[in-house]
Amino acid sequence: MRVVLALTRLGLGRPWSARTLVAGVWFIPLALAAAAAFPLWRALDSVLGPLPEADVLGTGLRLGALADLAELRPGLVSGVGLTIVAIAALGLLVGAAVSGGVLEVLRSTDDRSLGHRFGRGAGRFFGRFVGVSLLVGLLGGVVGAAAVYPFVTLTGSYFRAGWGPGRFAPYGAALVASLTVLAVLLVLDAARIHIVRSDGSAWAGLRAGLGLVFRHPLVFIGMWFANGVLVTASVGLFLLFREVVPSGSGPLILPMVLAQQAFALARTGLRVALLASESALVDDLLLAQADSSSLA
Amino acid sequence: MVGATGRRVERRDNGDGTLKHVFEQAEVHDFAWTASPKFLQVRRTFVADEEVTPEEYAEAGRLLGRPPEEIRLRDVEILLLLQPAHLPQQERHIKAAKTALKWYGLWYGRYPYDTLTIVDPAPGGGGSLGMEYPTFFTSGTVFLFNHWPLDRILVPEDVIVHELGHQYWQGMVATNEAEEAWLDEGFTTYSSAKVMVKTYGSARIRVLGLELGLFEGLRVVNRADRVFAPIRVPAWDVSRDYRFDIYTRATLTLQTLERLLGEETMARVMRTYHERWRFAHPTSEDFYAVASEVSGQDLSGFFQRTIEQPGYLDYAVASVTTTRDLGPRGILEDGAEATRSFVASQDPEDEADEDAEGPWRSIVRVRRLGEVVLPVEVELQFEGGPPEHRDWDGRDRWVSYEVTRPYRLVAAVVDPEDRLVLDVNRLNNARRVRPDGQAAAYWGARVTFWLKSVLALVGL
Repeated sequence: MRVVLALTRLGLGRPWSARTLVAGVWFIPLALAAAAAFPLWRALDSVLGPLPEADVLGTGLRLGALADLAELRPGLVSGVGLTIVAIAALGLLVGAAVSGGVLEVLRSTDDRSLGHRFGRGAGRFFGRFVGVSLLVGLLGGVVGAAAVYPFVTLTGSYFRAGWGPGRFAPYGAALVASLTVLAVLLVLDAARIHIVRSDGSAWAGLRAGLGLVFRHPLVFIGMWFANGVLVTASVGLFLLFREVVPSGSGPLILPMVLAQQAFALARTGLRVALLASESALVDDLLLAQADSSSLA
Repeated sequence: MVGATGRRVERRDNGDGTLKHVFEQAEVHDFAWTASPKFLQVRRTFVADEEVTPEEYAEAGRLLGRPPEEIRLRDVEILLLLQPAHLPQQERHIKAAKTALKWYGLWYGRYPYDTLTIVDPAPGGGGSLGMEYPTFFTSGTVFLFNHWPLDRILVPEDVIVHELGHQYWQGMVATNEAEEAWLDEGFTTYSSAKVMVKTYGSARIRVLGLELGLFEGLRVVNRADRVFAPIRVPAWDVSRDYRFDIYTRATLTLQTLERLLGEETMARVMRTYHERWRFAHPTSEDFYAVASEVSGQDLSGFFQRTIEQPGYLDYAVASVTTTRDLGPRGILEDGAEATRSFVASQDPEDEADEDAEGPWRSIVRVRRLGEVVLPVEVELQFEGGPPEHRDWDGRDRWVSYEVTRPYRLVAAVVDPEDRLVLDVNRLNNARRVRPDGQAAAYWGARVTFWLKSVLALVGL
């Protein structure tokens, strides 16, 4: 517990000392998202602008109006979906580059500029980070599917035959799936940190990540949980703001945009803090491992 | 535990390990029964004097134009046979049944039987969910609706209110479901949607920021790209979209009729139809006749176009323009003399000038995109001037209105009071002269945020 708190505190200090890094990491996806959303906004403007009945869309998600819009301009609504899918695919690549840059900035001690170090990390580890993401994702998918399968079978038997305990199976499936996602995230972070630390391959990173997380699950989960509490708090604040300040009319769109970006900035800072904590933890664990093997 | 249509009059032990249950019920055309050792048995009574307030009697009386004494309800014994896994939904089931007994009773006539049995089918019995028999019906729920946030989805309530609605239309009025299915499912869906809105508000689903209203849900699926057969065709005609025609379009047609006639007149139409034809097996013509008689209007054209003929309804404002009127141009005849008037071409900057003086010549074109022809109102909205209304019979494919006023036209709206609920697309019912970018700006910001969130989630 003390280790978790100490590392969390250490990590939380990093976003402030690396403000420019946080701002940059916040800005990169924002710029990409804005570039993707701009043509969409122009298209929406030309379609919705002359239609007073579309004004209800300015106050939120109204399925009736959206369905009518999909009928009037079939390509527009599907275009939003396709853009999100394309951005998600792009995000995997951008994420690999950005996390390489962030870890390099957090770990390097040389005097080169932040931009230089960020670019160096982004380029140097990009291929290996993409590789380790695919490996961890694949492994997580296979293990997750195998772990969830019995619960799915139990759920089916409940619906077919009414077997009593089966009614808890969907909750079990959701729990196992969530734990698998969490394990994937933790192993991926540990693997990436190991790659940066040792300049090793994606395979070596995967092996080290699995070993570290499954040998010390409590401390990894504890740090993730502490960070998660803070992320949840910032989500809560954001939702509270949305509840209090209606975002639908004219000038109130601006506060909504500012609140969204403040939340995104806070989330980025917390993510950098988590990476800093995990980085320090991996250092400690590998150092202790080295010490014990030299003693042996 | 055993449940069946009617009241149990005998329960005998046969002495050989079997039991005999005898149920009786008069004035029914069908019966059903169920038995299971797993049922949780919940018994409640709908006590009319407690469930219906004097204000509710007065409200219904005003609507129907009758004294409250004439519409008094009677007590009903409710038996709910619930699956143990759905225990947390017990009170939801009972509340839905009581509220449906109340409003159907007040609006259409008191429930004439002593008992009502609601059966929650066992797991694996999904095929029997939501099925109606006289004084007896099956509900429809799953245990996922036990807890937050899915307990905000009103599907169990919707099924109970709907199936109880069948007691009135399929059960008591008892039309021919095979030949004229819309008279049962359409009337039941329309009636149950009204009870649901009255009791639970307009939203059927309200989960994590997403809202879907009951009637909105029906309108969402009413799209021009579907097949629009006549609503009144036999159920065995498999070339049609049964659920869409019988449930959705029939309900939207009745709601359109309600908005055209007014809530009060429609309530009296439905009450008269139900009372006159209770236990009497009417046809569509009988309903048409009652509707025309009670409303004092010849509604045969309405029913012919919406129920009997295929096609959909869609009106749209095709274009709106407003330009400065610079006087007459061309060769003008004034009696025997002809004069020639030349006017300089319009200056576009004049149009944009907020202070430019009129008069303004405004042209609005309205189109009928579907086959269904119904009279419709068109509203012309002006900047700084009162709105003007035009009535269009809709017979032609399009109509054009040209007016010259001292003020500019801002927008034109077809069916401004949203009476034609059958219209497949509400978005094209209005058009403004100058675009407003607020909705697009709002969505531009939201989409940017979503995309950024996706990038952040799958990325760093």
